[in-house]
Amino acid sequence: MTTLLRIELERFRCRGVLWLVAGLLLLTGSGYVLMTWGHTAPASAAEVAAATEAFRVDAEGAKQFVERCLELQATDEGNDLDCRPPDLPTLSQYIPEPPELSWELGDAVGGMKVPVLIAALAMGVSFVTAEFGARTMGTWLTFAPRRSRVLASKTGAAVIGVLPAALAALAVTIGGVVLVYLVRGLDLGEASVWTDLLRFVTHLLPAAAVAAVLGAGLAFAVRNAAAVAGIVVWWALAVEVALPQIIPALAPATLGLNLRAWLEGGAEYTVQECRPDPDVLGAQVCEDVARTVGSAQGGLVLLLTAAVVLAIGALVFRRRAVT
Amino acid sequence: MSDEPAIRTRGLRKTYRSFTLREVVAVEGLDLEVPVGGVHAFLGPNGAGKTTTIRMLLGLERPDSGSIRVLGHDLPGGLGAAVAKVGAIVEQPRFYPAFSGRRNLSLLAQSVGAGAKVDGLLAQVGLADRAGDRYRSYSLGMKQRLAVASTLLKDPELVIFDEPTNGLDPAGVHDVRTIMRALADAGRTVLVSSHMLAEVEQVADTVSIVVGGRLVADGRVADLIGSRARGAVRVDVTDPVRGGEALERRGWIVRRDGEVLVVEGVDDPVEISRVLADAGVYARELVAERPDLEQVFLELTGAQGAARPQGVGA
Repeated sequence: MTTLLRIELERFRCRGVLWLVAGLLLLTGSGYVLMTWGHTAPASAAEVAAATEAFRVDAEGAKQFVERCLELQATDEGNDLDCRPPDLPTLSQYIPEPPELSWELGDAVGGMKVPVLIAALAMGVSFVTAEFGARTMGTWLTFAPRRSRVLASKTGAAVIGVLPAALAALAVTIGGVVLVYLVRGLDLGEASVWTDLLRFVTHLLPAAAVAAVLGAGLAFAVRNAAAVAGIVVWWALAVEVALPQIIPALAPATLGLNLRAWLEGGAEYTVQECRPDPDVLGAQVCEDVARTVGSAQGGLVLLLTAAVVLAIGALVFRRRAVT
Repeated sequence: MSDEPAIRTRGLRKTYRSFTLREVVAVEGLDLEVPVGGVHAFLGPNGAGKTTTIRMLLGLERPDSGSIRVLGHDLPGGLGAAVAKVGAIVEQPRFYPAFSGRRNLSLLAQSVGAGAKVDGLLAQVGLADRAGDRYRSYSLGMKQRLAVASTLLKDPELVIFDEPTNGLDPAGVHDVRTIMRALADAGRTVLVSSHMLAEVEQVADTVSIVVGGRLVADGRVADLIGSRARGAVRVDVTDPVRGGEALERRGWIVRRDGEVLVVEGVDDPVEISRVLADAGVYARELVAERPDLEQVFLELTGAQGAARPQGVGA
């Protein structure tokens, strides 16, 4: 088994398409770093001029307000007016400031969630379907005839192969954003930023591993990347989007909600609860009630889904002829 | 060595469903026996079920019914133990197109602990110079050579070649033939499925012929050919007309091939000399035509049903 896993890892390492996907993931992370660079740039001369002008207009307005107020106060009608000048912001408050690191990191790492999971799924699918597509599985089975071992080693390699790619992309994103703040000489904020970040990343990486298992399981079941893509699109439209709208109580069955719950420490959904109207006989009063899916439940549903799909893939792989 | 054959199938049956859900029988009650050692040819026209049978022997397909025993192991339970001693090329050779020949072979070699054999095998099949090139850049012949090399990685007791000479040039065909013979001479069993009957005849010791998924003949190649050797005799005579008439009067079927007479149904060519001499016609040359495997194959697979011919078989 270890030998098979080692061979599969070497195959994974040698596949150009998988490097391409990992490269795209790094590129996406780099994109967030570039966006941070833009967000944290010092105010330009034009921005300073605009801020100065806005400050001047507001100060002039305040001055006119006081003058007018004093004029009114001098009359009988306005003798009870309070003509103290309003609290004006300082000029520096008119000049745009860079966002806090916690915000920027939250945006960047949160934005990497979907690309990381899609990349993990795609890598799992591609790693297995390539074998069927090139029809090399038959050759491989004449060397490693126990199909359950082949399935386990391939799935294991997909998981192990996906994690460094996801980790590298997240490291580039987080490291890049922090580096931007250091280069700009900006405040790194409080330590709690890192606690939240660590929690998110340690939940995202297992989710990526589950996505890779899901991809491998689907690939073993249908053997064709286009067919897997079709299933994923169908699931997204029919189950993730349409089903909760038709039957809101089934929302906890969707992967999207459970994924959000797992990554964000819980996720809410609403269901309509109705009860007899005490004022009108035969009528009902309905209201939207928020319910929560916990993080553990979300993780468990993701894990079970991947296990079921992999079991289906294993069943099909064991029973169907291989060319 | 026990008397148990290298491969034994009993009542092997495999069907497929077509797109219209019609049942297509690929293999029908096949009883195949491949003796240990030597080269065994597995012949049959296209669609006869040869590749399906080979795929079932390797566990790539499940039979609907029947039993398979390979190298003393019952399938599917003993598949792992059996396949560990089998090297095989099934249909077209298939490797990763983006990997080099060496990497493809090396990955397979690692699974059987034969990494050290890779370079030697690449040299043996004449791919040493191109071993670093991507597989997708290989010609069909080079792909076949790489596949042959892959079958030898396991130091196999049984080697299965499914159309191993497809796409090979004459030198490549000769090399594969030499490899097959060498393997057999070293005590291994070689099962070869091929359409190149002349090649097979040169190298095969025993043969099984299948048609429509059924075995129609098997046995030693020489016996199979010999059983159909009530052959034709080519006779070059001084007077073909008179000679032909004399031979026909004897009850033989006589054809003219230019100035030469071809006499069929002769048990002993000496009889021809006697009849011609009695008629005052003299033979300049008299050659017994030896039927070859191709003729036997065509006769068996031509316009016949699935019945097993008399007098042939193990």
